[in-house]
Amino acid sequence: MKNQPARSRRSVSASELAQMGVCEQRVLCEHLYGKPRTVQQRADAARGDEEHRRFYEARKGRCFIATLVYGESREVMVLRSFRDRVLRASPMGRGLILAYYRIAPGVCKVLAERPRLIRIVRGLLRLLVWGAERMTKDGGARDV
Amino acid sequence: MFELLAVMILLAFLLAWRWRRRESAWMPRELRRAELAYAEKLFKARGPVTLTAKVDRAYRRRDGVIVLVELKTRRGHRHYPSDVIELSAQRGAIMKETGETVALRAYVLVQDLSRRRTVHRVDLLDEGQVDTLIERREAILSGRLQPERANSAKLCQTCVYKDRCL
Ligand code: SF4
Repeated sequence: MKNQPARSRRSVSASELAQMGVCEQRVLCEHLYGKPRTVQQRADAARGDEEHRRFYEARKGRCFIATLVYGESREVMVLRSFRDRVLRASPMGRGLILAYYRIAPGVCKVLAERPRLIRIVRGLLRLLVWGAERMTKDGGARDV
Repeated sequence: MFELLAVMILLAFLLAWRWRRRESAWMPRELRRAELAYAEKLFKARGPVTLTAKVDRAYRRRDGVIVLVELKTRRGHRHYPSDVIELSAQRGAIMKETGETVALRAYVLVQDLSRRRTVHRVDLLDEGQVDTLIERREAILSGRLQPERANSAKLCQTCVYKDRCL
């Protein structure tokens, strides 16, 4: 007997192929009759999707503290200028930049869930911005 | 002002360190210093049967070799042959699409309902074995081959096809 395909046979996803390790008969049944899901299976799938989303979010790591706190703003420009003109000029500064890149995504993750903490950090960063502005104007920038 | 800055930096380090520890506690030693190469990315390997694979995470080790990690949410902390097949298919798809080397060893990260995680190292099938499995599946779907049935009563009990199949 030749089975009637429910859909194209010429492509397979890794997760579909994985079902061959569960039950080949089930692979055939899915192909012939579609994929009805029990309530429990639907709930499990939804939970799986949600955990995958979290897993993905946890690793994106694109956030930097000042950008999270201020958005693209003058303060961020000042801090970038401080990084490039003052910190990059010395080995210790470059080490600090590297350390910052390593910790920033973690800090952002913590901050993203705590708006009150963002307000506090914004206040504290103001001091850093003020200091950075003075240093880039007065000293550090002169010989770069 | 500098004291305040020092306290801020220290606090930031502490928070970040705690978060990183929690987030990467599951990570095997070989991946701790690896960079994340791909996350939730779809790969396609064209052939007589196109193989598509969405990769949860793929890390690039310092020697350039890619190592795969697959997240599974389930009640028990164990891995199954189907995990090995899925990761092997992902490996084949990445290698065919990008030409990069992907390790024959991968990790299944199992997370339970309370979000506790355990990591399981698995040995993957090679490309030839994956191709054979794809061909076998094709043969079953076209009726050229009789499928094997699961020999697990527990699996059959909860299977939505049990009335049609047994
Ligand atoms: S009942 Fe389901 S799991 Fe059991 S043999 Fe049939 S298709 Fe496979």
